[in-house]
Amino acid sequence: MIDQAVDPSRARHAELVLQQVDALPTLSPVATRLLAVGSADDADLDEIVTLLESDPALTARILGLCRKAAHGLGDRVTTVRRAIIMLGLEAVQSSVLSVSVYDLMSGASKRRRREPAQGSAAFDREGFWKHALGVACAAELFAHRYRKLAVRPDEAFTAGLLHGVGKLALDLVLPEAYQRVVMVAQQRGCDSAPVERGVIGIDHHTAGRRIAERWGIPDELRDVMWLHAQPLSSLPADSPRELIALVTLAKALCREMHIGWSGDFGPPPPSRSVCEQAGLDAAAIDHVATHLHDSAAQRFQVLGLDARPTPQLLLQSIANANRRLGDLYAAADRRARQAKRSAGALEAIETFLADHDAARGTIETIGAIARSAARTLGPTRWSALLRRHEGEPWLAVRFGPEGRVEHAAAVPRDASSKLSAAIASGGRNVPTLPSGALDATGLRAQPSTAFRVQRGTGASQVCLLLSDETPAANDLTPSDALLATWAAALDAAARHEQAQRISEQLAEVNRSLVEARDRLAETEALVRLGEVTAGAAHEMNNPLTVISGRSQLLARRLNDDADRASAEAIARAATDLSDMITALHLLATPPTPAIQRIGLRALIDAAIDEAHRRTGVTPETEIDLGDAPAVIDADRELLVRALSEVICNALEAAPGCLIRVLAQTDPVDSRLLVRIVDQGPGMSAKAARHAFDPFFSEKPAGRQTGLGLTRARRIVEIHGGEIALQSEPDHGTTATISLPLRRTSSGEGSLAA
Amino acid sequence: MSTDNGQQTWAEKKIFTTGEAAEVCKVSQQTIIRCFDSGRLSGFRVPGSKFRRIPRDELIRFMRANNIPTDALEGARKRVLVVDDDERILELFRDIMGGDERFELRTAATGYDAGMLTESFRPHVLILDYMLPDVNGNVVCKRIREKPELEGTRIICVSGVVNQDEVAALRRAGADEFIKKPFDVAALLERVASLLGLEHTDV
Repeated sequence: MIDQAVDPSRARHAELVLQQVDALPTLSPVATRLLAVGSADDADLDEIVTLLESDPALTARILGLCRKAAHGLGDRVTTVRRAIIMLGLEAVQSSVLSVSVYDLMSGASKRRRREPAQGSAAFDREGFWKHALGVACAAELFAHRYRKLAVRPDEAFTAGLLHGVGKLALDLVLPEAYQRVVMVAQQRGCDSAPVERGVIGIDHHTAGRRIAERWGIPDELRDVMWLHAQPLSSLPADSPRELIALVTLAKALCREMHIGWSGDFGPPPPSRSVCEQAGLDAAAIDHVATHLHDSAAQRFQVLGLDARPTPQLLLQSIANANRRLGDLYAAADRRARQAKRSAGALEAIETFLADHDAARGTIETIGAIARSAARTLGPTRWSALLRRHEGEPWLAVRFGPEGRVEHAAAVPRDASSKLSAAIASGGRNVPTLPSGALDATGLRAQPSTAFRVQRGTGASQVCLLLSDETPAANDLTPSDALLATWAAALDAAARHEQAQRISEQLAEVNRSLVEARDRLAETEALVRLGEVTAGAAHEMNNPLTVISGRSQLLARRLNDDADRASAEAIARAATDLSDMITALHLLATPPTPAIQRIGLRALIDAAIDEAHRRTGVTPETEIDLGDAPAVIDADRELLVRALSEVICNALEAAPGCLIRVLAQTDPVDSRLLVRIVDQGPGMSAKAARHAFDPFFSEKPAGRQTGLGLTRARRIVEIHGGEIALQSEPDHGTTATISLPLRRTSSGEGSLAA
Repeated sequence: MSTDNGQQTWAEKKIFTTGEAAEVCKVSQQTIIRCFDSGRLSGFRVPGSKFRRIPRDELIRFMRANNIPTDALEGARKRVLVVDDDERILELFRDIMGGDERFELRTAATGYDAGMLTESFRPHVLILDYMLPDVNGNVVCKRIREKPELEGTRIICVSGVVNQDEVAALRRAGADEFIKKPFDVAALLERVASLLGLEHTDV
């Protein structure tokens, strides 16, 4: 139930209700004065008598009440003074209070309230007073039986009569709200207090206490009005436990006996268990029950409630009981139906969730929804219209019996916007589809059944679930919970797809980033190498020149052949070392290519010759120029160098094997592709990756420098081209050189992009 | 070395007769005699006779004083100036070319010295290290090319750096040849000889 005093606005609202309760009329001056007199011991009897007799109508009813209350003395209580003497002041006070409150409340209700429509749930005022009097009588009778509790019967009567006055007060000040309280309590089959707290903000216990304080009602009675519904065991120590126990027991008995209308619809506590809790002998219940109808009927008459004699009251009780029973059956039936539906929806959700894997895409998810719909709603074939984002065309998908996609088509643009407009105007409901919108989609023009699967009305992703068949049970619509589950799954699928797209893009960006970073690092390394080799070329070449020159001079003078060969070897080594430095320097600071028109075939021939010259091997070659241009613009010397480096590499990898040089024009971006294909042992992925690194070599250490391919790549790069190796162990290696073919007719200037 | 080479003969002559001096200076013998007798060309007479004799140094002084080219007299040995800041390289060149009768070798270690020496030594060939401590080889080439009297001087640049762009720039500045360090000694001599129009001779 709703928790009070949590929300400040609720607390303010409750205070407003209480102020209205305060605005109810107060007790008559006679009653107020009489209540203020207190106990009989210090009361001025004459004053009380005078006071009461000033109101003859009141006097008559008090005497009547007193006569009924005092068994055996009835006829002798003829005056107020006599009543006080014979029954005691307290009894008279009780009577006065009962009559006053009843008059007050019924008077107020007559002024403030129109009669509710017949048959509707409403506060049954007359029935309520009958219940109150019944409880009062029962409490009085119990008080007589349980003398050991030392509760005066008249006090018990008043307590019973007034215990539920708070309900009356709330109904008076907030008639419409209270009507709802009654209705809800009746439907839920619960007591009124929790519903009062939910609907009005305060319950009748609080309202009762407020009235008691305002009217100056004695503390014991106030506590009964306030605390009577609480379990006896949890009552505060200073509360009138015995009195409350009696009222609780009386109330339980009256509800069991269906006397009057209590306004509570929860199952009443069995009177016997109330007895047990209060530590009382349950035998008294039967006795009280026997006399209750008689006693209550008499009091009804005194208060002018009802003129009917006892049997009618009994019959009415039985009718009340029947009606109540009927209500209970209806409520139970309603609940059973609801429970069945809830269970069905829950099962459908469970099945759907088990069937649907959150990691799948949107279309698969709609397939799972189609399966779920087929299971829950009957028709076996469903279709869907899906729009992921506003402005995008709709996608029409037809599913087979197993939720497999049978057909999918985009709705044409015009039809799509019509469809969007129709669906937008439909709000939460499923719209009438514009005619012709689904032509060319393979879906029926106007489905007979449609559901909207959408996460909130504002969501951009909208899915309409359609079927040509009408579900077997017409009223069988997917529960809100199932629709929400479908929508959530669809939403999750969309997010999943988006996340996947983003992560793919991210991976792509990362790849480019890594490549760019590698290239940058390589370029930086080359720049640094350039600075180093520029210095080295000068600083190291001078000593090398001395070594070389001196050994040459030495070689001339030496007559011994071996000595001379030795000196010449020194000279050659110095030259080799110098060449290596020069090569490094060139890598770092490549020359601007001197572009000229050169024949492609001549270029390749020259490169093969150069390779032959350098390796001493005559390669077996096969040249195919394909659709490549016969003449290109490039730096002849450099390109011959680059090609020969690649050919040398192929020759060294596969000595004696055929080397094919294949040229063609790349049809996509008009670049010249030259492939040098060998049939050697191929190389590892690592080797292919590092083949262009300076000094990288898979050849045994100590042989050759690994600068050839590095130089080749540098030359290709300054021509604006690219070079790459594709290789697999045992499947040979293909080096592909790709050069841009766009040329200025003058042939002047750099080719480099 | 062939002995019938007239130039070689003059190159070795220490004392010239008036007839020889006239031939070297490409003037008449009478003119030489007149100059000798008037004291403008110093010399001596052979003791006990009237034959006039002119020492080589005096003849050169006379020729220069009268703006007569001394090529005919001196042309036998080609003047070579090697410029390099590395003394070891200069020594190497002295060993390569110093013993060669065809060359008269001078060396310089800076661009400044090189400039001074080109003026006085008027080398036939300048072998120039491109990377000098004070001036760039380009500048040296340009200065030489600005002087008409050095028109005949051939310039060979030598450097460890072989950047095609720089080589092209050197050629534009007036260099005739480019040789990369370290070099083949025989090839170097061959290049120098061919630049000077000398016959190829094995050293």
